[in-house]
Amino acid sequence: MDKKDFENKLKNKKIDECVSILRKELIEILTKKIQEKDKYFRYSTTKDLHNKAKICLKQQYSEIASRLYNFDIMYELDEYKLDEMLEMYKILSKE
Amino acid sequence: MKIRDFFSTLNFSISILNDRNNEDVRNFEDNFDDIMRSSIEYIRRLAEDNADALSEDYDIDDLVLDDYDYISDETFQNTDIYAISMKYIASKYLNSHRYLIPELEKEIEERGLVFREEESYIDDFHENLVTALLALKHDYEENYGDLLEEIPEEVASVLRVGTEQSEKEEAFKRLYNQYGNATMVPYNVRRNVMMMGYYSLFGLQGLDSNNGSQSSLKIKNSFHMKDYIQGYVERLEPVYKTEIVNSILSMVYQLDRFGEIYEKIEAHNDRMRRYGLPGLGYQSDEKEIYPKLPRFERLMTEENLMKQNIDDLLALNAFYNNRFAKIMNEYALALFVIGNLDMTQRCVDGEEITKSRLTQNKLNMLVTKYQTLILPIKQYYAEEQSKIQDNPYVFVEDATEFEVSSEEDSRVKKQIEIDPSSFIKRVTKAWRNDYKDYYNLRLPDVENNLEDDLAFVNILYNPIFLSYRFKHDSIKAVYAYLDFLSKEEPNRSLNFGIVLGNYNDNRKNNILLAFDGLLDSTVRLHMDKEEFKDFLMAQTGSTDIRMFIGFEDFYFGGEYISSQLVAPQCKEHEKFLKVVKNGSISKEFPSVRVTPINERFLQHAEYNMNKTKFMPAHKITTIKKNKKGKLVQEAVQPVMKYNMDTAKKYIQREDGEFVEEAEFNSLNDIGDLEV
Repeated sequence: MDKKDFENKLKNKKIDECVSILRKELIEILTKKIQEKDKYFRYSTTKDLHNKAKICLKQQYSEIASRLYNFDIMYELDEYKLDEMLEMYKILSKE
Repeated sequence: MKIRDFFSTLNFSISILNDRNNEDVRNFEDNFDDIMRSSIEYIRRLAEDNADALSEDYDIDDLVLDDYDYISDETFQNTDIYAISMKYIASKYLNSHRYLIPELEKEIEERGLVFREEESYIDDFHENLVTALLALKHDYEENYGDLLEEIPEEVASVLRVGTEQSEKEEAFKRLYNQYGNATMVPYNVRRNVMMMGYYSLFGLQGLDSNNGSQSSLKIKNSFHMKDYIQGYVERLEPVYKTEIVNSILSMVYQLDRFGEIYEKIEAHNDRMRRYGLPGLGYQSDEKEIYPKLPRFERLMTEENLMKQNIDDLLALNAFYNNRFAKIMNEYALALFVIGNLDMTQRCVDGEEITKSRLTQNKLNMLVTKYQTLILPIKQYYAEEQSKIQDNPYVFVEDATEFEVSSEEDSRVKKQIEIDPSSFIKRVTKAWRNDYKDYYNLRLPDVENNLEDDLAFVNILYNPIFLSYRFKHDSIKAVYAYLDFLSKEEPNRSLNFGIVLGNYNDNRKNNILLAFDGLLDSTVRLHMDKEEFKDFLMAQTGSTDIRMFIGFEDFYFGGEYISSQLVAPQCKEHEKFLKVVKNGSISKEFPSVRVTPINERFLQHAEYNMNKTKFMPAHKITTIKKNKKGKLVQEAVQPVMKYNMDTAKKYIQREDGEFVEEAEFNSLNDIGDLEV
């Protein structure tokens, strides 16, 4: 993730673009974590990601995958998504 | 994840209320009186139907909650549609691309994959091929494993050959000469021996009709032997159809319980009358003005639905899932308001709740309260969802594990008990007294008990959550199936895909998809853009999406006509269209005629009924050679694709290839040709 670009977008209140960037980033991190357990896994959709995360990842990460999937299927405010995704990003980037 | 504190949750809830893109809240506010009236009618019907069950210990509020559990159970029964759709598509694909099987078998071996009872079908097409092949092989071994082990030695000796195709075919012919052609032996015995030989020699892939010798294929056909994979796909079809039909019927039944079907029939009839097309309506119980109209219930019987094509059934399923999800959202909010006002019993007794009775401030506060509770509940669902391994669809409150089985389907569906009490405790701890203090001040005449409110919203949210998941799955299923058909049966006229133009709603993250079929209306549904783009990649390997042609036909004099109800086509509507088109004077419909307002809609409907090759308003011309070898222009219905990344449009050429729109137009512009 280009952090500078992200920060600029955040500063300019381009919330939907920030959400899109974070979504991609979170997917990438989770995909890598799953691939550590199953080298054949490749990302297709958040639905598949969340189903696979349940099997391969610890609950905290699996929960993030579920949240990402739910964001895709249920309407949520962009500001809320961004806030939640930043929290998820914090958790995932801790390790 | 940790629970967000009360005031931060509240801030988001207030933003949701002010968010004009939020269709659910906006719709609830705009149509408050109608939604409230329908919800109260639902409560009254429920009370009436269960009058004997009501007592001092079991009141109407308990009954509503139990009914919501029942709705969740019913919704849960439709979980298989997505998986079986993906399985059917993958199995059909394997049947028509059998050359892929050896390669996939190699992959299965390398990855050490084995068949699992709970076949897991996902959005990834390749993974689905692998899963479908594992299931197919398992089925083959289950059915023929023993048989192939018990082949009599004299037959086995004939079959003991090398791996070359020619050697196998020679052995097959020898078997025929020795056993299959022994006319003194009864046919069924000979057939058994030939089948043993056939499956033993050619396996589940069968004899490749492109490479197999004519004599071998002739022997195979003389015993009416199907390749195993072909027979397997044929066996899947009725099971698949039954599942979809059951899902449609259960959704329609639920909608009918909420009074939605009747309302939509009325709304549909009103519109059709307004635009001079009364014969495209349905028979309504109260206003039997047009005796020749079909009854909606008659079109939606199991018998009639089972006669329809799979693609049309999938489109119907997606339409009713979508409608159900929307209704669940509306009713949850309405029931929350009624419950909070402690008016459930009073509504049964005849009281009404209208916007004029409530102050805007009170209504806003109740909606905000609902949203404040929904946000942690959504988190709770994500937590539970992430724990359960066997089945992602397990959200039935206080349900003990139970089994559902039928004659056709012995698979077991599990619902696992989940208990929200510990989650509620966590929220209560995080929010301390803030919730009570805040709402007691603003809603003083309402019981603001956080634990009870969370438990109530949890039950209301259950069918919403399930129906939204199925809604997305059902849209994916119909798109995937139609995309598959468009490739497997290129000559079939199909109109489906993304709607471009100014038709996508305010939600910038959404796309609008539409599906035509042998249905009396077009199915139109919204889907998250990012999710659908990922899905396309996973299914087809690109972000090209088919384009729906003719969406503008649904604008009548500038007003967009949405589909209120969708049913399979019927002879009454077909007859009416004929009357309109021919301009004939009909006793039932004396004043109908084609007008500039309804003309394009009628052309679209005719095209859907396979009465025309193209919709005149959307035709294009392509160049082809006629029988004499002369180049001529021919009017056709365009088949178009749109790339979701580059926003480029492509048109299909005569040879099936897609070329960019500009290139297509220049290729087809070669002066005055015969048309």
